[in-house]
Amino acid sequence: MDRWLGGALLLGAVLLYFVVVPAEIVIPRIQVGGGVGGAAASPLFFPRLMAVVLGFLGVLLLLRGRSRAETLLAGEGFAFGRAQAARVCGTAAILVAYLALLDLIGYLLLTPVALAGLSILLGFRRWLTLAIVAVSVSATIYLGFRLGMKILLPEGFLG
Amino acid sequence: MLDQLVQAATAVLGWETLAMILVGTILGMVVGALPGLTATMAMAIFSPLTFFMPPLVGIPFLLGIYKGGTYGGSISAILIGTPGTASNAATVMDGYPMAQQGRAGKAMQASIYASTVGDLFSNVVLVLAVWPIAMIALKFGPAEIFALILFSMTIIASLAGSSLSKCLVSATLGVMLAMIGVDTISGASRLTFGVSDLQGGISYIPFVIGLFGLGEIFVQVSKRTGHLTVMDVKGGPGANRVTFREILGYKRTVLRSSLIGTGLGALPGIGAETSCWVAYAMAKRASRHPERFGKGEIEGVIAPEVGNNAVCGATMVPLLAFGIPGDVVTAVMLGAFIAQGLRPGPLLFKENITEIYGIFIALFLATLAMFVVAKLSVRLWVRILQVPAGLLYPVVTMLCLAGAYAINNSLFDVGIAIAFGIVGYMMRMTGFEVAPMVLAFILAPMLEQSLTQSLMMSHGSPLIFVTRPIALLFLVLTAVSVVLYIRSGWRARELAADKTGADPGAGR
Repeated sequence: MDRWLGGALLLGAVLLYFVVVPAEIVIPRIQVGGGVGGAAASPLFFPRLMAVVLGFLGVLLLLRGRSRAETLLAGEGFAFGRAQAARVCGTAAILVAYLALLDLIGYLLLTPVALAGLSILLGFRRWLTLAIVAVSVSATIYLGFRLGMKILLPEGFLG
Repeated sequence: MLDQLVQAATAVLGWETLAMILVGTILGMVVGALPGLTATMAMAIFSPLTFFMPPLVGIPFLLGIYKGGTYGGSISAILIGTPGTASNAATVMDGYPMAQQGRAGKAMQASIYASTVGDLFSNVVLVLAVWPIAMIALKFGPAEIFALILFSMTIIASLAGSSLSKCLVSATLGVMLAMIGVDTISGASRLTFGVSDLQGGISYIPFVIGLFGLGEIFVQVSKRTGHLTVMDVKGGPGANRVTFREILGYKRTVLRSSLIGTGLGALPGIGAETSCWVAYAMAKRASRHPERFGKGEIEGVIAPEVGNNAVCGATMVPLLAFGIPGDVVTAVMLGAFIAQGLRPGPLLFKENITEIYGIFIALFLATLAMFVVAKLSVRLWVRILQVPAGLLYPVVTMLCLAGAYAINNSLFDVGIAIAFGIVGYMMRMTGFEVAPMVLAFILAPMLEQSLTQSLMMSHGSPLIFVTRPIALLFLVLTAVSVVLYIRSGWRARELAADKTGADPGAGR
């Protein structure tokens, strides 16, 4: 696992140094003197330096990285099965859909639905409790923002 | 000076601040007590709220969350055998056995008194130490600040688990992310990929909400914990009684743990997660009955609880005196300070003395609030800890998203929070720490700015860093810190190799 990540980091670092940084940082370095000092004061300096460091760390992981089992044995990371993957992907999908629809449908209508969706995904099945919590929490957050902080959360087609 | 003190006291003792300290403390305790939710997460989620409050209402609110959260973790450590936060991990060792023996109430009372004493000690040290340090820091120029931040960044290595390279990858990515947006000195637009929302850089609070809030939610979702088995707080008030006098009977342990917590807390990168274990281990070593530890010894609750709460005030020293956050909690707090128009650092002690006094008073009020709320709520926790995860985590998720939106009324920020929630989850899953990424994200712009300013002052000559004594001192300390870290890594590897060599059957 670490070796794959190391390879990906190395590739990313090469792309960053040779493609992304030159293309995405267009202003030439500011003149504060020549030599090392001048180069270090350039807006290109840190991104390039970090690309080099990232590449070096990528090589380290590639050469000395541990297997997934060794990582877990060291108490880092955690095991990941199909059921977990389904729940995490489901949660991510609900959040992305929430983001995409929030402006259109509005906070007050969409939030109880998203909250209930997440609860069901987590195995909560007491429907009445769920309905009460979903509606009351959404309304409380909405009113708290509107009255307490004068922030209008997206109103969607109701607005 | 007296005028400013009176002004600060008037502001902080107003009902608004007192109420928010109380609310913050309760929120912190609840979040700290619930496994999977941390004080850092609570501060990230609720810090947008403070942007709409006066500084001496918003900052005390966050202090309440911080202190309440640090104590709150001990509740679940005692009642369910799972620490609410990493800062309370050592409390499980003796707190849970005490609860299993029907002494949950006593363990919780001991934890309350111990946390309060540790907290008070740390507050006093902060008040006494931060002013002189800030006066020294006033003499710092960009070269000194650069060297100091560089030194702080080496401490990030202490956040590494068993893989330093992964910790450094995390920190490097944090620096890269901090580079996104317009460079403040040259005006160059960097790594924005034409996205106008990125011109101002990645918003800090949504970034932190994503990594600490949503990232942790994803972890909990994948684990899907249902109801927790909570030990009951049995017996009448007499059975659970612990007095301050009883705690002071362990005065050596209390003093030692206070010093450990405060000392470690003042060092960048080392926080309550470490101090609780060091305090526990030292108490065990010094005890006449070390064999009782791990079996329900009250001293095994007192030591880590003094040790972790004694960190709270101390972590504020580097933040207030230098403007450099020593850990992730103060990194979140730094964001709140800046949003309030306050720039932590030595100048704060010249320009915002009223706020400084107010923060000092609020620290003590937050300790008092923590003590009162904790004393009154001992029996309530059995019920609170039984809130089903299936309801709790979705509610926290919605709070995260609303908090991310509130910063700039921007859906883009909600997207940032979701994206970094996924990134945070993947990092945790593959054994990468998220804390180095956050610390590097906040330190990198300061490092870059001080480097550029130093080089402008010296017309491009890097000798400025070795000709100024304080800068040179910090550079030497940086080098020493790196060498020591590498050496301890080698030693650990040699020890592991020796162990494997001595016990060839160990791997079978």
